[in-house]
Amino acid sequence: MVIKDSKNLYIDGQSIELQKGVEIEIPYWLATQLVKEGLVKIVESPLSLEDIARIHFSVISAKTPSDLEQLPQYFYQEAKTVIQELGERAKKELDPALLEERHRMLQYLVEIIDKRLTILLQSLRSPTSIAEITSRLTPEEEALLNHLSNALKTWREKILPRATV
Amino acid sequence: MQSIPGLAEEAVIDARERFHEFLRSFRDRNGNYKYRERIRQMITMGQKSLIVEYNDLYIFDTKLARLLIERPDEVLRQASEALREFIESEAPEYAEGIDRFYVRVRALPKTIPLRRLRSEYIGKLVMLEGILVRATPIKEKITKAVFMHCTREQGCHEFEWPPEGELVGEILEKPPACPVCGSSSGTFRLIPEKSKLIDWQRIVLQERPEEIPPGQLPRSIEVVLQDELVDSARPGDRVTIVGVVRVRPDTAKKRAVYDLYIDAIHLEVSQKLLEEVIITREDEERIKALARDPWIHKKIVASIAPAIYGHWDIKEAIALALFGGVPKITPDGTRIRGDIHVLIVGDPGTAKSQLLQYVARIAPRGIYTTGKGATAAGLTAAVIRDKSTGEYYLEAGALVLADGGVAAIDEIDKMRDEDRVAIHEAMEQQTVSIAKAGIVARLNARTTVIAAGNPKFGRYLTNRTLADNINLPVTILSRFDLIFILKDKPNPEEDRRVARHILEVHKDTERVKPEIEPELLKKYISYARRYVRPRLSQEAIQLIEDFYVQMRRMSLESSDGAIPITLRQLEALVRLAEAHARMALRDEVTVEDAEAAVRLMKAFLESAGLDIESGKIDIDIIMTGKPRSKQEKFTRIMEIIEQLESESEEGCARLKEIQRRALSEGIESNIVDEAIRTMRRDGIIYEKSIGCYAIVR
Repeated sequence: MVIKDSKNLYIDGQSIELQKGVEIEIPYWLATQLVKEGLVKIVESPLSLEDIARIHFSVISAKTPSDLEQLPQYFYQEAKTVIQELGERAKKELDPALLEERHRMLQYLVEIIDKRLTILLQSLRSPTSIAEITSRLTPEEEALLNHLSNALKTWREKILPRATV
Repeated sequence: MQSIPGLAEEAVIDARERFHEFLRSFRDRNGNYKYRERIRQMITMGQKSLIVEYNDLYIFDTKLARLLIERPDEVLRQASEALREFIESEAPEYAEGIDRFYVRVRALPKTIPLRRLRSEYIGKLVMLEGILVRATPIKEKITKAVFMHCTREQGCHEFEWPPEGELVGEILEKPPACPVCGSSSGTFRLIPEKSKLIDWQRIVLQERPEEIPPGQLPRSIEVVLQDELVDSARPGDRVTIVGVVRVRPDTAKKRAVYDLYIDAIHLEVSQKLLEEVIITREDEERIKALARDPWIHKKIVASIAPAIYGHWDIKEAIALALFGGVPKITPDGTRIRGDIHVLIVGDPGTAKSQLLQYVARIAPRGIYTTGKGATAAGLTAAVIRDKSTGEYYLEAGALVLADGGVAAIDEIDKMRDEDRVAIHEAMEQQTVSIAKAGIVARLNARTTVIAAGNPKFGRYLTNRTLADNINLPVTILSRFDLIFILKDKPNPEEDRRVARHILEVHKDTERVKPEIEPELLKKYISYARRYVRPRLSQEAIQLIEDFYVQMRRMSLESSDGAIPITLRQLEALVRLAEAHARMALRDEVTVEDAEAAVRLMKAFLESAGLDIESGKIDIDIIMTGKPRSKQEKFTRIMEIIEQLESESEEGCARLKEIQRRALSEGIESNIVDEAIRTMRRDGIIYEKSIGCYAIVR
């Protein structure tokens, strides 16, 4: 939601109108930047402990790359922000319940990351698995997978003798 | 589902204590002790079950929550004990009077599709969604049996079976030996009156129609409901069930093959209509953008079966039926339906079935069926007997399964006789009542009917009325808001256009790309039905009122008294106008909407309600099967018979005499013959002697 009238923004050839009171849909990175400048506020409700717990349940249930489920868009960024904000609030308000909530969230997030990383590493063993799971990865995971996959490819090329005709 | 490494035995032993702790200390977001409050409420209301949100337990103790999924029997037993302990400390007198407390877990994070329920889930807790299609009457099941053991030496004594801590399973087995005297000889007699019994009911859960992959049969599973869960849902309801997957032999014979069934611990009836169509924020944006298009009505109509050439009025009627009017409930409880029923009667090969199939595809909660129906329940509902168990079941038919959606019924004229009776109620009152074999129920059938039928004589005969042309009673015909007739008449120009369209489609299928993608249209319709409730504007009311009064006035002015419109059509006009407003996601019914409704109604009346004798629109053709002009002739013939009967010495009217006198008044002999045939069939007159008729008094 735009909270202050401002000049139109031009990003990637597209114009974004910033008119007070209007709800606009923009990428997360842009939204956080505009929040910092005091131009907009994010109206989509932030991730809650319940949301992360639900995601944790389905991530932990996955056994193979085929069981991997898609995470919500911007999951890692949002979770990180929410946990940071909770920590700051807990310090300010000196509320142990908030600290406990932050601890739980962090624990779930670590376990989610561990589990998804294991599956990601499993998938590196076969190119078909990579193709299968790519559509269900977050941008961060996809970047990591590409990076690892390329590194492995280069490493293989260096280790293996060249094919002889 | 994965078994959890690291969940040691101690976790199982701990479950009771952890659950007790959960009930005692869990606090929600607002800091309230959620379950302490729920338990207090439970005690006040005299209930035996505590409903626990799975996610709450997961946040409180992830291991315990996962253990609940893996070993539900053990954990639920201990949870129930923990609950009893808790209640005993809060209200000891209340706890004393209750045999068993239940912990009912709801909203698991994952739903297992019925199709993917396999052996790996046996003994585990799952959540399933589907439609309840069958239900047995409520029965009583023994949980603790009391046996009387009698021997010559020891006499008789009673004991409870199975021993402390166990309950009777699927089959009640006689004890191998008497736990009191230790003897296995003598007689064991069950005393049902002293045994503990609980309410028991078996239901069948079926996949939702929209989840069934194309060309496959729907899968179903039996679910056992006990105690407070019995009778909490009716056939046709969309339910979410949480329960434990169990097995039992598939036949009475001892084979190593077993059937899966669910032992339910929680059942929830879905309240919201059409919630299964997921509309994301992006979809909502696209829907709102579409609604802003001034040509939205035309675009929607053009998107209905674009491969079929022409039939604009029919497509528009179908589009309006898909959106539907607004159902209303008056303060006195009267329900006014919002569903628009449409009937298409047409010659073979006029693309009726194709239109219907397309409707079922784009309608949220759409079902395509034929009049005969695929199951024993047919279109409405039936009480059927299960061959293997001999139990009576109430099974829901197509109109009940499509509750809240659209039923596309092909060949409606060929429906079963039982359905012919029940469909009257289903179409107007939107419920299906059944009372058979001890099962008395009223099921919801808030369904829009879009039906097609073939003419009785193979082709539509233009010199006969609509009621003569289709094998449907006028009582059913009159319940349709719009009826269209598709005649296959040769017309060189039109034929060339149709042929060219079809050939072009064969050449390049891309040509029939719909204006709005079917998937988006489905979401659009679903969004409109869920969120848009248009109200009539004063101008729209005026226009509809004027049209109604004007049409009725025509009846006064015409000599033969043909009635062009009745109150049923007035209500239909309101529904059509509301649906037209809904198409543009408008909250108000404007004059434009009312005009569109009037235009469509006129098209319907001119197509189906035309009196072939007088050439005037006459709604009696649909309402009574006879045009007003013919009805008046029938009345006159009746008077002639009465007159002749009183004049003659025999006390009856001779056919020749009736025909002669009728002809002198301009009524032809074939009409006289038809009138006599009808009056004899209806029991108004009888043949007193050969060729001589008298009135039944």
